[in-house]
Amino acid sequence: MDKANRFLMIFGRGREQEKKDRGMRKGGLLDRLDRLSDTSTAYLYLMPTLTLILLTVFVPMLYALFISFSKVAFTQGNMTYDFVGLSNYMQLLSDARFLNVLSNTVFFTVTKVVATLAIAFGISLTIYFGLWGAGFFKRIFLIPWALSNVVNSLMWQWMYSGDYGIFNEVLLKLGFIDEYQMWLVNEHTAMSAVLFADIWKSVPYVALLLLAAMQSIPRELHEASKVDGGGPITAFYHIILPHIKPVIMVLLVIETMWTLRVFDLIWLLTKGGPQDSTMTLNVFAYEQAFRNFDLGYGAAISYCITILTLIFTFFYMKTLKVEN
Amino acid sequence: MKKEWWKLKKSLAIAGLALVTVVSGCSGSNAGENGEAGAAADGDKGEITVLYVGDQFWQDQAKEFEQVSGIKVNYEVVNFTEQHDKLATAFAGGSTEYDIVHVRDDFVAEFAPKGFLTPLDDLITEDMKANISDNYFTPMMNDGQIYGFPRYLWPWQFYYNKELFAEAGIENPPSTWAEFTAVAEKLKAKGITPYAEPWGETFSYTPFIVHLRSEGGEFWDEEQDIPTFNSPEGVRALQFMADMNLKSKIISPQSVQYDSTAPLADAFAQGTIAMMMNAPHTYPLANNPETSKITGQVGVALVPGAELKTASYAETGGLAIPASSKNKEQAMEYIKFVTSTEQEKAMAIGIGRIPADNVALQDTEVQEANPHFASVAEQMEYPYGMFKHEKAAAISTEVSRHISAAVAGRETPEEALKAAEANVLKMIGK
Repeated sequence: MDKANRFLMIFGRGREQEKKDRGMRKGGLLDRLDRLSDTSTAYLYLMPTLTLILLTVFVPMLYALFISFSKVAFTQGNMTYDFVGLSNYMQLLSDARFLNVLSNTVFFTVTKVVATLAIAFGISLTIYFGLWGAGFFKRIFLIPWALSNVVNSLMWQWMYSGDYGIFNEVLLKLGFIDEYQMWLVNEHTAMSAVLFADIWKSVPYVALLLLAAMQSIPRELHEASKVDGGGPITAFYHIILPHIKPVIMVLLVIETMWTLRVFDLIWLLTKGGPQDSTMTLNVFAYEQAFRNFDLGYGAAISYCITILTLIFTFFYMKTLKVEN
Repeated sequence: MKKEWWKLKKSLAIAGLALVTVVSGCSGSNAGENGEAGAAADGDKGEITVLYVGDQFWQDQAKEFEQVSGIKVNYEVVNFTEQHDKLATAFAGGSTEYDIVHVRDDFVAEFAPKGFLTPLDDLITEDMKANISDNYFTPMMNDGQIYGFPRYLWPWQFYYNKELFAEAGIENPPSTWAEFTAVAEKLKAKGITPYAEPWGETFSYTPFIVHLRSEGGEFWDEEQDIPTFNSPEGVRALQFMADMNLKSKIISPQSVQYDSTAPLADAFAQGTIAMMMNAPHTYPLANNPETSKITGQVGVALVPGAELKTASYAETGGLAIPASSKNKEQAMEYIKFVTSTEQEKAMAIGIGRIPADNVALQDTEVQEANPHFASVAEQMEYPYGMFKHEKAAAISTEVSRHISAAVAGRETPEEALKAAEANVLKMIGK
């Protein structure tokens, strides 16, 4: 096709002729669809997914928001709503347990995300540079991630058991403890025990993504660095880190969101105890909504988690200064 | 151009198909209902979903019902300690999934006023009630209506290991808590772990109730609907529990991780503790060579007393039909079958539950298989009922948190009961 015809086709006459040839009626549905802009076409493609997300995510979110401003009661199996404004949120701020639960949540989230990233970084660098143990890590490091959350929780419950837990047995044999400890029912150790179990499960996924990001770095950059006399430390700071910064940002946000949402592990291991030492906002919301049947209060607590997620995300974006 | 046009048409078709899928997915339940109705009209007797614990006996019983009635049973297994929350989330979410659920006294008190359970008064026939005393129906009632059909009683009795007693030179089980301490000291001197109680943070209110009652106190004033555990009797009871751990050290340190009676019964059956309070299922469990190391060594007695000769704690286990069930008729058939005298007998012999059916309870075969039933009648002459309230789950968790704190020495008994009472009063708006 020469340039002139191509121009005509793009800017009108050629395209119009093409439609005529295919029997498209001017102003008809097909004609109108054909005239859609690229943006509109993109939305059309996205419509099924957006509809699903709207129905399964945004509608429940809006419903939960509505509930958080209501006092919900059950009569004859039906829910009745009494609009109470900010009352549930005010109740939360004056709840004697709230500050402790909030600080547990922040501690759990920050410790878990930082520790996970640090360990995952170590593993991915080991594999990337083919250091000692790289082969071993490559073969086994995805196993924890492959386990379901419930299986992982039950496994750790047994391992931590004060009666027969292998965790106790190993520590006893290594001489770290004198007798079996009840890690999950001691308020000084429960949080660390839960954190350890969660980090163990999360590290593989983070390590995998970091490794993938590292492997996408062009080899030429490393070669150029070597030519200029740069060692592994230079390569890490000036090639790897800048290159994988966007991935770190994504991982920080995703891991933070996931950690703030952790429920099954904590519920199965400690139910938020002992003495609220592992009680996070998520478990607290569940307890209020489904043990105390205060759905409005539970929904208000859930919205606190959303606010906390936004605060964390904003903090990451500001700190890491990642554009786009 | 043709290619572009084809792509556009294709994407429209995919979008349309996805929308249809979403919409049809949303209305899937209606389609299902119509489908079921159609099947039923074709002579299918329908199906029900039962939610309860996974003991083989209950599952076999469901299969037997399936064969007898032609009604298909989907038996969904749940851990007993998770049962309340599973029901609560299902009910609050308006689930129509379950047709038969297990209820106990406090579940009825919590779920019936919210309209989550079906009143059974009009569905229960005189035949079904004939062998069951009214006492069994009372815990299953709310506001004068029956919401659960009782099938067994679950009272705590006092269990001891005869072999370990003989080793420590002890002849008889203790009849008071003071005697109990002396017995426990003897066992401890022999290097035996004397005793354990379920002191987990959601369950420790239960042994506390037993100690409180034996001191002459009570947990709740049902007339005025207020807590009464913060009393001199309550402080004495909690002090006794704390002393067992902090002073005389006669209780297993593992107690704080037991959040139900099941792990406690296992520890007893493994011979790791010499005494405990537990429910009647312990007897067959501890005498079964497959599950126990102490077969033939199980002694059962009245729970020791203090101000009262004895006191206990007992749940009534029953079956209820959720209000949201779409198969109430078939569900009622199931209740009728599993609570028949024959099935109640099989239950008592098979898994040691005390049958609600009097004829089954007095059956010679049942009594021979369960010699520990003999002392139940006397135990039931003293306080034993379960604490009931619409907010029972939240209240018991709150009290348990403070009981656990007191027995661990983090709070004094006075502080623990005072704080628990204040929080419970706030919870019930008083």
